[in-house]
Amino acid sequence: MSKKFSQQFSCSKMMLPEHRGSLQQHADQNRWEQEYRRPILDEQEQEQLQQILEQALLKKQSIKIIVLNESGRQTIYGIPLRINPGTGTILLSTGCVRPLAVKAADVIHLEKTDPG
Amino acid sequence: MQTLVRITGDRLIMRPKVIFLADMESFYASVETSCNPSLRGKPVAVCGDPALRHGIILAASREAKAFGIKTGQPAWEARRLCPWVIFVHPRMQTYIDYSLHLTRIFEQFTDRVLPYSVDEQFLDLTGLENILGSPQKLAADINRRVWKETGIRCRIGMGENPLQAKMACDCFAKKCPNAFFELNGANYACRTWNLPVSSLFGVGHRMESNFHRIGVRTIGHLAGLPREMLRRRWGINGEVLWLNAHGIDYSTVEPASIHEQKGVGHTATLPRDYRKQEEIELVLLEMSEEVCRRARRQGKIGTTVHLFCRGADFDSPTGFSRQKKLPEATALVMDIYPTVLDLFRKHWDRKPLRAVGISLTGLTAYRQLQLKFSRHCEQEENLTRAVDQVRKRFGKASIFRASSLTSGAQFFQRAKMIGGHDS
Repeated sequence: MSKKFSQQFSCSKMMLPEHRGSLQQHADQNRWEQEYRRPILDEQEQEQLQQILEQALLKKQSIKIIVLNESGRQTIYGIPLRINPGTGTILLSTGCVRPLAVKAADVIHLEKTDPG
Repeated sequence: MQTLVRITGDRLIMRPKVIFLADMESFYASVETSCNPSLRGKPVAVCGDPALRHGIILAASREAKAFGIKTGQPAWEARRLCPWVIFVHPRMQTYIDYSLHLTRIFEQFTDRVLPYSVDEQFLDLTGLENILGSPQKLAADINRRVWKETGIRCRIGMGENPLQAKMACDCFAKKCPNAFFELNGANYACRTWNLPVSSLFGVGHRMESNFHRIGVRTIGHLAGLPREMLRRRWGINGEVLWLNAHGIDYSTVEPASIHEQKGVGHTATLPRDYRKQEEIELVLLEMSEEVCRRARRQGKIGTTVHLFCRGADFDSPTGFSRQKKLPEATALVMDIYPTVLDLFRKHWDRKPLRAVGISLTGLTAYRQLQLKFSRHCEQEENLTRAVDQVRKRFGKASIFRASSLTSGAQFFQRAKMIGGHDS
């Protein structure tokens, strides 16, 4: 189907470049806020994440962790080696020489990547 | 167009979409009244500078309209109709700021907001009835919020697709006391088919004349023609108009479509008639530079240059509009300007000009640029990048060509403008 059928209003939009620029900036700002917005985890979800982590630690299973910190969202894959309640960190083996320390407070999502 | 909302057992329940078009009443004049409440209740007209030949009415307040003042009229005519009309200079940046504020208000109701122009925005409110109430209540809430936060009156047209919403707003809501009107699949034909064909979205003066020539006077006449015939005669445009006449539209309200841009263009009405070739060519150079700068700012390069010139004589319109494909995609002024000059010298009839325009189309992302490693090109790219950075940091007029100091140059005047008017 021609674009004219599905986008007749996009084709005929009358917008000054300065207006378009402002909207672009606004959309970027929205995207940025969404990227940095921390999801609210209820008690049940927190418990679930804790269970996944402890199980993976016990069975040496690979997990996927999404962390949110000042650099934005990052996805990390690795096998948990240790949980350090004193420093509030999770040590992960990611295949590098040194294990990676992840702040538990930054974790917003956690899931098993190994079946079972 | 309908949307799937629920599966009950083995049955699909389809419910129509809820699309709003929110249009601001006399937007520029309302913003001026909102900024300066002493203007409230008085006949106000936003008007460009007659000295720069921009002396036409851009917007008139409700009180000014009562005297017969209309958008597009020359200032002198407005003064004749209402000698005590208050003329206000446009402030384009303020209008853009207000428009963005409106977008933010609408985003409190839905994340599917598509600004269509500075004073019109589409909202997709499908599925929100259970949370925010009936469409009528929603429209009233939106109107109230807009009035409270900006002091601007808003009219809302509702439809099952953007076309119906636009038609509802333009043809009915603007005249309704409650500033709301709904068109849908059931009432579209009986409400619109007796309207003149020029009321249909997409029908301009030229298309209206074409339709009049074949005896089509109303939207209903157009709807009665065979779709195939319109397609044969006017291609896809004819077919889209046939669909519009039937209230059918496949558009969606996608905020992302704001950012899709096919071309970058720049048009200017000159402050006086330009007769000398060197003066016109200087303006073309300055405009080529502006077009390239804007393309670069978006990280785009273009493949086709389009030049448009309008003659000064209103009574016997002259001018031309021509385009040429470039050997390779670019956003460097010295790659584009020779093509602009070539088009200009070939087609200009030596008659004085009133307006000129340049656009660069066929845009692609800059990273897709073919490799071109000549030293000259690299140097020019570096220079261009440096100039862009200086302008970004210190303003558009902080660095300029020496030729912009000569007579006829428009660079400094235009640096302070948005959309051809004061920013």
